[in-house]
Amino acid sequence: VVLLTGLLAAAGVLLGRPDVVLLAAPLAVGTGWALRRRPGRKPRPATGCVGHPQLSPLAAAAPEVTFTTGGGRVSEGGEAVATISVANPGPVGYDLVVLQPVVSRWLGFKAGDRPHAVVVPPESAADLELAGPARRWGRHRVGPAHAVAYTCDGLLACDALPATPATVPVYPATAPFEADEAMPRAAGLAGTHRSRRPGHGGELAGVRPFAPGDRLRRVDWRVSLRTRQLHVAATLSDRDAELVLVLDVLAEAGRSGGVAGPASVLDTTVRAAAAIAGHYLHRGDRVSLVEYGRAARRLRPASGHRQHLTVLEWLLDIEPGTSAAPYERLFGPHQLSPDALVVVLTPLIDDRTGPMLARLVRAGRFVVAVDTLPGWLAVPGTDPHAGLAYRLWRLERENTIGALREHGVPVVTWAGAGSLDRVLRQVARLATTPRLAPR
Amino acid sequence: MIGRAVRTLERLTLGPLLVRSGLFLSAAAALLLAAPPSGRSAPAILAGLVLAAAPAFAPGGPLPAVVILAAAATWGLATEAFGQPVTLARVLLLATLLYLVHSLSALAAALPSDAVVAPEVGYRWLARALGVVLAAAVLSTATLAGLAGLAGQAGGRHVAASLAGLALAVALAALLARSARPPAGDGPGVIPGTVRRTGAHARGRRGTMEA
Repeated sequence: VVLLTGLLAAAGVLLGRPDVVLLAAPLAVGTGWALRRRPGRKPRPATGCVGHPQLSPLAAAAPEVTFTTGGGRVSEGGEAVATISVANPGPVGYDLVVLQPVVSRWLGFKAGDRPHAVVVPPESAADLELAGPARRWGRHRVGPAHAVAYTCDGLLACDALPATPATVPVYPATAPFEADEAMPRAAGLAGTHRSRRPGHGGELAGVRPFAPGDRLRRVDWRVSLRTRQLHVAATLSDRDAELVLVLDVLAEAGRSGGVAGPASVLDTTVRAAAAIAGHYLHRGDRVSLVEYGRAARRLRPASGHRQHLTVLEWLLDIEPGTSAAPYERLFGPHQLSPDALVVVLTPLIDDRTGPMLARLVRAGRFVVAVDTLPGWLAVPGTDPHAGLAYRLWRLERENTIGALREHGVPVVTWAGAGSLDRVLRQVARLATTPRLAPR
Repeated sequence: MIGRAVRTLERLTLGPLLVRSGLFLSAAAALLLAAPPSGRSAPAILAGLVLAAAPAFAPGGPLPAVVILAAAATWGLATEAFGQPVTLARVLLLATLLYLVHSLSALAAALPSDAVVAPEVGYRWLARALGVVLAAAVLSTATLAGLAGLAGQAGGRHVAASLAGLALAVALAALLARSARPPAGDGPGVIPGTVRRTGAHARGRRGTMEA
């Protein structure tokens, strides 16, 4: 502006043309008016940056960006909300703030991938509300953002201080799941499952002659009158059961399309785990989770609604990893209850999964494997041999599944409601036979 | 290159489009106003439109300044060589259009082409520009009225231009001196045209001045 004004003024003076000089008048007036108040205050600690606060004269005038997310629970397909606030701590207003936030691609915020231009008056803040559907489970980041504030009619510009991003937790959509078949072996002394042992419960086991120790309220008077001998109604005890969900996340396969698109291995694993855990927790059973992957996390067994919420939170941090923890650390004798039903959600891709399942069965656990591999996978590359290699790999995988079945590990493909009924029946039948393997 | 252009066009939003359209119209009108009637042939108009469109595509570069200087040069040539009359209204209108080119270039350079722009950004920016133009018009009229007596005398035009130029130079010098000085009583402020780094956490902070 100064150069332009100087050039026009010099040309006007040299040519003796006041009108040429006056052409530059708005430029000079505009610049003078714009710069009458410039941002700048006494330096103060820059609180917006992470780490040690530093005294910065520029920080005093820099915009402060903060991210907040809606407090409600958001499930896949639900509406997620995030607010980006741009604060102007100085006494000079920002004529324009251009804000380019970085938003996870799984948050379908309207215009979330575009820069936003707002005006921020002095010592106030402008809020930018972003809303849209959450397309996939997980912890999705909102931020950081690149913000540039312009003041003095665009003559001065200043970048914003770096701000801490916020995360939007999106819980997995739980497909409807039901399993009517009884658990193979009950573990506790009270619960909702009909056990195979006599005791005080609601399930009638039969009528037998009275014996010392029987309670009088158990006497079946009709049968007693008919037979002229005291008989009591024998019942089976009600027990609770423990379910261990093992999530094989050694490898990811398939391409996730979000809640409305195709599901990857991780999607199927997490959604199935949420559905199975929700079903059994609703019935009063205890559920624990084990991550068979790099992180090797465990969630202690518990029951109730709080455990359901904990399971959903726990599932959000699932990440595929190539290195697995040692078997003993995850499935050692002190880690798994001997009566627990172990449901392994696995795509059966990694070579370590098959031996792990076989060791569990040999250790006398009741194991069910749920196949989470998508039905259709894209053949990578354009090599003509790739298709052949893919088919060979599929055949090898079928062989592995067959071998597992021979070892007594039922393998079932995840199909939502009723997926486990058939295999649970099989496992329950096995549970009635004497155990051959030591625990 | 073509794919990038297509993607830019696909993501183009209304706000930046309006700003760039206003920039193009201001530049075209300034060039048309500065040109003499005899020089408004089809090739000249086409060249003028191309020149006027250039800042709309690259508002952050030197092209707006080139357009402003070209319009001023055309104005000088038209009034000197082609005898186009110099009237106060035409001078004020041209000055207004040139300032709009400058101001809208600054706004267009700051706004990405795919930005979602709050309406008040445009309203306030335009209101400030019009306020400046109005103040400059009043100032120019007063200056011209004050120098009218000098202009009638022999060599008075040079004296008038020199006085106007001197006033502008003094105003610019005062402005630059004020810009280099920190705001009174408030400690150090943003120093135009400099990039300051105060440590690892001050990465990216800058104070710039558009020249």
